[in-house]
Amino acid sequence: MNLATSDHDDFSVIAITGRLTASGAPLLRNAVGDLVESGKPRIVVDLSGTEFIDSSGLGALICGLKRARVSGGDLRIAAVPDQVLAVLRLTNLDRVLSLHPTPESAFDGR
Amino acid sequence: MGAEPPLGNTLELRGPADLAFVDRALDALEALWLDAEHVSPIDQTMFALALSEILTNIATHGTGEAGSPADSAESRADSAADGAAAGASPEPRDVEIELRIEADQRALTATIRDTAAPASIVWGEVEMASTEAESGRGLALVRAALDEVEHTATSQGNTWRLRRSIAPEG
Repeated sequence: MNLATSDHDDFSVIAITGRLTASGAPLLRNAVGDLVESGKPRIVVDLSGTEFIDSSGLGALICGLKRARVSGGDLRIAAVPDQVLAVLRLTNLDRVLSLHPTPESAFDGR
Repeated sequence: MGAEPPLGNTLELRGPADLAFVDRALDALEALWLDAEHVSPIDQTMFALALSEILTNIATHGTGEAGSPADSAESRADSAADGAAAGASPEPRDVEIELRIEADQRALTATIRDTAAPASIVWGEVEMASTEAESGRGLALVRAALDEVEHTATSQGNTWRLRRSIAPEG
């Protein structure tokens, strides 16, 4: 898994490529933690390059969502591929994580 | 249709039970899919999901590693939430995994043998964790992703058999 963080006007994007599983999940937790601690709790996780996710990856997303919200921000996900969406639906997390077509549109309107 | 030769794509892998092994297994599975074009993307994803969950469980709970205090607390919480608990082994042990996967025209099957302490799983208590939970989805996902899952434990270790029927094309 590779992870890249970029800053935009009023939100940050964490792009994940490859598989989001137990070996990579701590990187996502740390990246969210770093953003929140530096006062940037509005976060979009760009999943366009994410090939696969399992329960460890889901746990990292939920952990990030909580951390961002506690700090007055939010964590949203964008460009969710079918194979990731299928797993989100199995766990009902598609109802909890806010899904958006693109990272740029994730914080439109708010 | 019946004249088609049977496709028998198999994969075998063995090694120490750690997260690197999980990654190796998922890499090998991706390579296997290249030779198994009859397996649909959703079948690939669901089978890989079940495999990843079981192997990760063995790597994180089966070795009895204490890890950092925070890690072990999280591991115990994960196990409890999953309805699974590694046998109480006071000492870390070197756990090996032997994996065999077969993809034929009808089903995807995996047999996983580990040398971990016998895992105690109460399938009847396995439920999908709430949407707020950060862990506890592993075994519920395994069941959701497969048609059959069987776990047997002896003092020598655990054997896991996973099977997902392949949806007919079209």
